[in-house]
Amino acid sequence: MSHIATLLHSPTSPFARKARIEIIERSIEDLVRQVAVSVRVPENEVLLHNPTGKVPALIVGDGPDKGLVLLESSLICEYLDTIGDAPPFLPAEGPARWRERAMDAYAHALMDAIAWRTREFRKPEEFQYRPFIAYEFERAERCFDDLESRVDELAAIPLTHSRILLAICLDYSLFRFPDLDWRPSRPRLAEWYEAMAARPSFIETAP
Amino acid sequence: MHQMTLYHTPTSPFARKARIVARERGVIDDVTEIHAQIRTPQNEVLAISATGKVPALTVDEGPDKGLVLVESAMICEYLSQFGNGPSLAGSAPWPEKALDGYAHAFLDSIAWRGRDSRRPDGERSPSFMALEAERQARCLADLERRVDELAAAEISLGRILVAVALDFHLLRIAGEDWRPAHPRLADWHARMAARPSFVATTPF
Repeated sequence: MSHIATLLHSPTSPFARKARIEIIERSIEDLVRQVAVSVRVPENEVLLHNPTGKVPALIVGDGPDKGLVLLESSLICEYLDTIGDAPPFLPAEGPARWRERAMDAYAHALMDAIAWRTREFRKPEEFQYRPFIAYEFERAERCFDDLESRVDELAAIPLTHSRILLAICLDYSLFRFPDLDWRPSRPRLAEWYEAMAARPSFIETAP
Repeated sequence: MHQMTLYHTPTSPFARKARIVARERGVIDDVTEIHAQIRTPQNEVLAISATGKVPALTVDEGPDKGLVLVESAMICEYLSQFGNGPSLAGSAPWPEKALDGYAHAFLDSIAWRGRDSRRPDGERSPSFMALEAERQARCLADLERRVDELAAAEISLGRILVAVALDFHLLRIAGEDWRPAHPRLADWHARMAARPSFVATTPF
């Protein structure tokens, strides 16, 4: 079968990982080609399709949406929901749709907070802004505590966009900040996370 | 009727998108807007979401009562279901979502750079600011080329966000007025910025 879309990603981008995991979970690897690109260099392949140069980017090469260039992981995952035979992760309508949307947005806000902090550490040391780092650290800690109290809600639904992204957040925090292990004080969340991280789709896309 | 509460700050461009959507769709009378004291212990958002971020929307009545939404894209999608103002869906669903995603990435870049530029001297990273400045220059040139596409529909979620981003660039990136070098985009932006929904939500 020929590819209908191409996902441009970088191996360490947590937002791109969300799309890569969805591709594996939906078994649509044969329909969506994955290409690792180098961002922040002039040769960045995304720039051929969009001036922001950001990953993930999904380029639709065939079908009714041919030529579509999608940025932003939540939109890309919504589009991936339409490819292949598996039922969509996002419920089509009703309160269940908005509950999933709400959790996905929460996960996105948490991921942004962790990613911003990481980004700050990529700057030369003299330009790292301590008040910002402390503020974003507190935000993430607050969310981890909140999630620990909501594990039953997380576990009630096996796999959706929001659950994938929350598990990526938890994993990315351990990857970037190994000295700040969130697990010891959140045992129930840690158990939920370990089960998610053991899925083949997570193992294959580990940064 | 759906009674909702929208937490915002007057300068947040992402919150402004939601406030504009509520006005364009004619649902603003069902929405209580709260100016949240973010980055202080009194931040009102912390009572409803551990993220503490604006914009945040709570649904206080109706079938979705208890729903808490953060992230402007989700909030705007939710709000745009209601009201009887002109549709904000654009001409076709996926090209419209693509424009909205593009505008979001563009605005993220402006917001990062704006935040860095307000830090104390000596704590701003020139290489990061230069990278974001280049990204914005590419986007502005691209949008100038695509003005006919923007002007093809009067208003939509993606068009609102492009105009909010252009406006925020003027506010935050002081001394770099993009308008003289992008005259067609400047005309389009001026028309959008003159809408009552934009005027009523001007940052202060």
